[in-house]
Amino acid sequence: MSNTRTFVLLVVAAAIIAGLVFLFSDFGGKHTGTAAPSHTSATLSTVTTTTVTSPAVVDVPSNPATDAAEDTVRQALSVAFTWYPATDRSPTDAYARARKWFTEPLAALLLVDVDTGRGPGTQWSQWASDNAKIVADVNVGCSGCPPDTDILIHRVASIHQTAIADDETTTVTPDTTVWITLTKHGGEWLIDNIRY
Amino acid sequence: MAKIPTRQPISGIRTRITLSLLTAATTLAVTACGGFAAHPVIKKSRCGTSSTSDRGPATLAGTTELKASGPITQPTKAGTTTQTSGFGPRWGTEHKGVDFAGPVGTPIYAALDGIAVKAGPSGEGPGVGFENWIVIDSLVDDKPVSTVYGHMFTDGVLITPGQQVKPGDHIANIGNAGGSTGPHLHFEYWEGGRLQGGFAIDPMTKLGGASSPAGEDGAGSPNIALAAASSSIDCAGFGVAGGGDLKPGSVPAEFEPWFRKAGSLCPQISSALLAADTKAESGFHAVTSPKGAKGYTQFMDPTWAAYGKDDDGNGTISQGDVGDAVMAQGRYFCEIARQVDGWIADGSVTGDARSLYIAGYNAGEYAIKNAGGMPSGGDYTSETQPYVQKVLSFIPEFEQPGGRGELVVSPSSASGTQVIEAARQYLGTPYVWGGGGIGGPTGGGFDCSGLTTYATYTGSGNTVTLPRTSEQQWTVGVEIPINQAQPGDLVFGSWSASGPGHVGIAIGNGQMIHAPTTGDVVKQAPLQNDMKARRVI
Repeated sequence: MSNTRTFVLLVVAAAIIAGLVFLFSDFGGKHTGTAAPSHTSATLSTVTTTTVTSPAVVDVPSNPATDAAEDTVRQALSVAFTWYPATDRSPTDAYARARKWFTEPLAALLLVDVDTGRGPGTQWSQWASDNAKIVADVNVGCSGCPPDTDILIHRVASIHQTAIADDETTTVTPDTTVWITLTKHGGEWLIDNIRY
Repeated sequence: MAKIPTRQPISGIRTRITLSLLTAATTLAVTACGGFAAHPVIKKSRCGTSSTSDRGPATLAGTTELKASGPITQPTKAGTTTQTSGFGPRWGTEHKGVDFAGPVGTPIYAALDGIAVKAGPSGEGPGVGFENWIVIDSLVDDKPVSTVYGHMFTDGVLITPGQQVKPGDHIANIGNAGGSTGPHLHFEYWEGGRLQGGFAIDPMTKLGGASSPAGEDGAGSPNIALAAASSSIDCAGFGVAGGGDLKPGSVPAEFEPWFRKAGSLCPQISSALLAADTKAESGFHAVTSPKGAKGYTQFMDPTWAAYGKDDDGNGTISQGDVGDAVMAQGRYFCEIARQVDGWIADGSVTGDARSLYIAGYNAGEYAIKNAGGMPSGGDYTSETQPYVQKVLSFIPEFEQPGGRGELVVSPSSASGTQVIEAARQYLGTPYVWGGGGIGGPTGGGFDCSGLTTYATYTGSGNTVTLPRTSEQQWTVGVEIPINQAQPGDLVFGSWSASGPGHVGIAIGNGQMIHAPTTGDVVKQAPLQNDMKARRVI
């Protein structure tokens, strides 16, 4: 099979798969609340236009320091936003599980024993009674962040959560966005600030 | 006790079905109730709203007694101003009113009888749009009409929301605030209501031949002899201060009149904010949390004792009564706003006022005071701060487009030009990393993707919501060769392995509007060499 034919077949296959994914997401209706895949289209309140084109690949060499910092963000926030409401008192417990990726000052701030007096809310209670697990998918970007330095990196993270209870998955809305500052300590990037 | 639905898609479907049924039921009810009204009821179609613009009990806040207005008068005295810019196309967009230029301080008069539903900041921010405005709702020939007065300085707004006015009342003084190019009054005339999806017409078609305000020629003429009849109008909050901010049909029908009423209690707290907060608190269900927060708006007992009243008049004071719960929520939010505003004024608290109001509702107002702003640490970081972000993200779902003084774009006229016009409103606004969203600037400004998020949402007639980061926005729409980018297309640059680190809005001729970087402001600039384009509308 020629390379050209292979390429054409791959494109056709990708288009079919993309179409099926779109149809399933539109009418299968169980795991997303919108007709459009959340990461491939705008959210349209009255009109839905979806692109099935893949984002263009821009060939930019990766930067090991940047990669390491972004890995820290991904790992830390995946843990910090994965919740077990049946056993966690509040999302603060998940922050405690991610402590190793935080600087000491941030850990001291996040894990201080203060609460609002109202609890984490009614949705949390319902998740607890459903014995649901809330899992996080973390997307890291820059989005206009200040320039990186050898000791300071800023990134923005979008956290997409899914509630899993029994055999059912449910998208948690809305996505959460946090702005992150990392500092370098002993050759390791740690999160020093989290801003909503 | 109702359960909070955790299966969002299913509950979403259920909500939509329920809303459809409620809408149908309410439509029937409104139609049927027309016969019971003591006064003529204005048909909804005259409001310019869709068939979903229904509301709850027609006798509550959605229904306001308005006296039929007498003849219109000029908004300024003869000889004090000069008409400098007419209605219609201007600078590539639509000038929705008429400009009357005159020295700062020149008196502005009410043109019609009516109720001031807006009087103060337009919500666009300093130096943007009107900055300050007055909207007066009136009945003209049994039809809803709003007149709009813009660009006054803060101390040039002389009336308050909810105040009744009559033609010739001195309501404001000419200023030069917002996006104004010289001292003038910007005056608009909207048939169907400014906040109800009506449409602006050329004011001169109404003002031509109208008398001057009292004291000038024409004083004592027909404008004094007002029509005595009063009329009820059931028109999505028309004539209710703050009541028009709520998007019709966006909440369960039994909540709608109460959100309109509670959103009228103080200028800082809108109906849309209360609805968004209720969605975050309970999903519009009467529930009790394990910590004892109760009802639709999740009041703890001690707070309820201070703010709960029998607002619905059913003989009980209950967090489980929609009216009692929402009105208490409004009263508490207004008290928080009053305190937070005072702390901001005396310098003991800093931060975005609306975000702090919401945080105060979650954590208590004194958590704001003690932190000197947004509280952090422990559950304040893991619960309160995400709560604020969630409520803010819900507000546009309930906000009537144009409820602030900002650019109004109907979905049918959505275009790249409108996207640019939306962005242009904020030229000069500071760059703030993490700032901005579909509602406009946050934290005092925009970052690059915050600006594109706002401009695209507004320019599309509130139909296109982009994901928040530049990298995610690159996954939306279709790529366009950069040399074929049209005004309103997004342009992406500063590439890294994770995608584009920067985004702006193409305006043609190799230029863009963007929020560049820390220390800079929203500005026009040449496209970067590495930029690629995408079309999202």
